[in-house]
Amino acid sequence: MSGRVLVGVKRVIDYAVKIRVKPDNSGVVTDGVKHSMNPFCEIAVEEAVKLKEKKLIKEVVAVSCGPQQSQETIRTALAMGADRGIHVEVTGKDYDTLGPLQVSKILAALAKKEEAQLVILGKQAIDDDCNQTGQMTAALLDWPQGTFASEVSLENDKVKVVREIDGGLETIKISTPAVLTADLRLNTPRYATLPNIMKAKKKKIANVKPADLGVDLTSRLEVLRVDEPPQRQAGMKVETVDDLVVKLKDAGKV
Amino acid sequence: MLLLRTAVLGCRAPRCGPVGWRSAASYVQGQSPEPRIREYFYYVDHQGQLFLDDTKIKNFVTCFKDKQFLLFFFSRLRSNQSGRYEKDFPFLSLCGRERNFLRCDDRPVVFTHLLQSSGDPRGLGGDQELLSFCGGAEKLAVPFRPEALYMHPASGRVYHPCPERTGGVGLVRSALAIELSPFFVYPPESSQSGQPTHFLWGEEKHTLTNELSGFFPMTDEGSEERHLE
Repeated sequence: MSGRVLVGVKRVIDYAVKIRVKPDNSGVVTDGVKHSMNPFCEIAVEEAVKLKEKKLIKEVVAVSCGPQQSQETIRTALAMGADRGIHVEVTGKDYDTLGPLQVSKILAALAKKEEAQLVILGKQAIDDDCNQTGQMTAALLDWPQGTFASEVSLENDKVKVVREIDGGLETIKISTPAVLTADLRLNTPRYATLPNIMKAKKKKIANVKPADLGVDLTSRLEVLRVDEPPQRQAGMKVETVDDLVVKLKDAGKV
Repeated sequence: MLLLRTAVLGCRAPRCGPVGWRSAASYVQGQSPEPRIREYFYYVDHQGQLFLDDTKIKNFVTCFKDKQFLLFFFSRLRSNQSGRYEKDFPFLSLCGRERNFLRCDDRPVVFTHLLQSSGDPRGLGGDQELLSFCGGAEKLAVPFRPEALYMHPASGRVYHPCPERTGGVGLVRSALAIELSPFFVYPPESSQSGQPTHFLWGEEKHTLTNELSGFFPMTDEGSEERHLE
């Protein structure tokens, strides 16, 4: 086994930012808005780096798909301990319509090219909440998948994954190579120290185009409209129960 | 490969515990040790996220986000000299009849954003930049003093002064340290894994004063080793 782990990291609008919908309702405002690494991707990077520190794997490769700024996201992964990066350049209209299907095709191609033993992703991104990329990547590769992982342990050529499911926890054992997706409880991402931040600047980031990987980025989806959630209405106080009944009747509720 | 054993960070003000350290104190949230007094227990992590201390899973989903609450909490923060839980919860935020005890992964003040008056990331322009902490925007902020940025030689974490009342030194969260990293200057022959000497900001080369080093105790050779790769 190559001992190589591919970690996907996505650049998203920072979770603390108040999102605004564009006036034409075609999407959300992203220009000039603070972006960061998707929190679930941070957890994925942390897990890969921990596996390397335990000497269970040999190399962590961070991958991001997007415009030039995606390189910043890769640098953050390198500062956390990834060894090198791959920036798959996607810009303009292609980037606007980039979704799990396209990204999973890219990751599948890279996983084969890099002879990855594991592909670790965040379970979902906080901008689209798709929760699809990991599953699609595994399907395209015909690899087993351990999704919503809250615990991962490597045992020779198998991976034991404890999964967060509705009813509680499910433990499975799958063969490698495999795709894992990280859930919130998997770990707590580390503080990337200044020496590691500086070292990360010297690590290599390869530049790749989707066409080089033979990937077609055509989207099968069209976003028709984006709207803000309805504004929360103010409540009102009434003096008596009878007043309440009148108000409810007026509003057609009873 | 030598493992980093993080030196327990102490300071003139009470210290907080390292990561993963569980408070030995026993409490019930909202407990009332005296009439009309309620006590609550909080934790702040190295990203400046605030949680109830007994929240089982601490991440961006479970942290407090309401700006008003955070402003209220942190603007009243001081060292805990109440005689209660001083060892386990070194800081305290008083709010009327509520005692809000706080312990932290590293420091109670964690700088999260650098607020610019202009769009220029080099800070060119007349107005003072502010280092804002714990998600409080300009309401929880101190003037940015580039020369006072300090990298702890053992842990590699970056710090900046904050009011004496809240411990005197605040942690610069990793994401912000990454933003500031291009402006650190190192000795010419060094590998940039040691101490930076200057910080380029506002068209000036600021010599780092390392004035915050006094907040961290001298450690002997045996208790921590540098992380080597």
